[in-house]
Amino acid sequence: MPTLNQQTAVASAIDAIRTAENLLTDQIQASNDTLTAIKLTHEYNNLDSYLSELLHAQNAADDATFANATDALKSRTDGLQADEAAIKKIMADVATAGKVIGYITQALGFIAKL
Amino acid sequence: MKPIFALIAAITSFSFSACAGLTQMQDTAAKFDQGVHTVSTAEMNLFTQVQAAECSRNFYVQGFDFATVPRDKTTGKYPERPPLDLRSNTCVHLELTDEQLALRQKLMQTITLYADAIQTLTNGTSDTNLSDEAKTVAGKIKDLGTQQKFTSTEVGVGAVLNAALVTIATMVIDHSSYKDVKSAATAMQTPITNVVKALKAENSADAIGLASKADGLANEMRTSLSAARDNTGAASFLDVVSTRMALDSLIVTPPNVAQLNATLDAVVKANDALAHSTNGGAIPEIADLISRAQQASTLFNASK
Repeated sequence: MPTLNQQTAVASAIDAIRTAENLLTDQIQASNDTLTAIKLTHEYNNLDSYLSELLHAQNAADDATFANATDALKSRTDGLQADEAAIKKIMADVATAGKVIGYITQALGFIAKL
Repeated sequence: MKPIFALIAAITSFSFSACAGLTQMQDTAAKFDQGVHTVSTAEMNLFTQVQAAECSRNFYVQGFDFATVPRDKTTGKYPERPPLDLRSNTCVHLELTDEQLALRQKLMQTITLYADAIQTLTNGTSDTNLSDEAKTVAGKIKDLGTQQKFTSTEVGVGAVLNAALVTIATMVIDHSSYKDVKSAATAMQTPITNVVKALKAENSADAIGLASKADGLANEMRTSLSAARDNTGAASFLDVVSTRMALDSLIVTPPNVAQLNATLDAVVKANDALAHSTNGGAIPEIADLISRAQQASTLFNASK
């Protein structure tokens, strides 16, 4: 069974990713440029896929499933870092981009604790 | 009145009053059972929706990738990947696996089995109406709880949840050891509260997943509308209209989860009312449970 710290880390990472998603959604829904919207939507989809894996880890009922889930999460941290770099390039609103990246960085920090 | 007649009258009156009490309690327990089963139906529908939402999300992400992949700069042709097969019905559940779903169903099953046991108690302690099948399920839940197989999305309550499930399952199996509904409901109040707490935490986590998927589809739709406007200008308004309709029909509405959680709270309150009731009768908390449960069931049956 996951430890208290591990459960807290997963729950906090879920919150951070979901907050980043909300900010991205606001940008996509307000976007006037199709290409920017397409790129941001791909980034959103990457975060959504990661969130699914976090929720799977949160639902894990035994040590083996949780270990597999956290391994999968850790193996994708490079991808999340690449998403951070991409969002920085795509998003014209520097301040919001900074916030999105900040939440992804927070999530990465929580994942590192697993 | 002669003393013998007065005695007969007193005994008759007492017997009728006792029977009326029993009948009222049977009626109350039956309503509690009905309310809990209705909540269970709504909860099971949510579990199914979580898995269905993941499958449809996977398909639409694949569809969006297909629609937005750029042409090869050299050949001018679209690449073979990502593929899009509209016939595909295969879906592997990763977010909430079938095994995880089965465990969640057992959480809700524990409460429905308990409500069945409460109803059985009103028929008398020697009653054997609770089926062998129900007791077998309770036995399996008890085993899983003893092995600490249940986890909660709420941080740090795994052990408490497993203990609660073992306690309730034991009550279901040995329900006749309780002398009445009041004593059973009193003994189960804390375990029921803990199981409901776990279910609510899972529902809230599901709501996050469903909201994320709903936004994902809305983002893809919005992006496609931008592309439609680029190509067709004012005519893209027709796409806006059809997109709005499509979104309404495709997205599972996450806010329903709040209502489901309020209904689970109503189960706890109704059980608490049972723990403080002597003869049954009109208990507002049970009427509230039935009302909320029916609303939740309607909402979740109507959801996609």
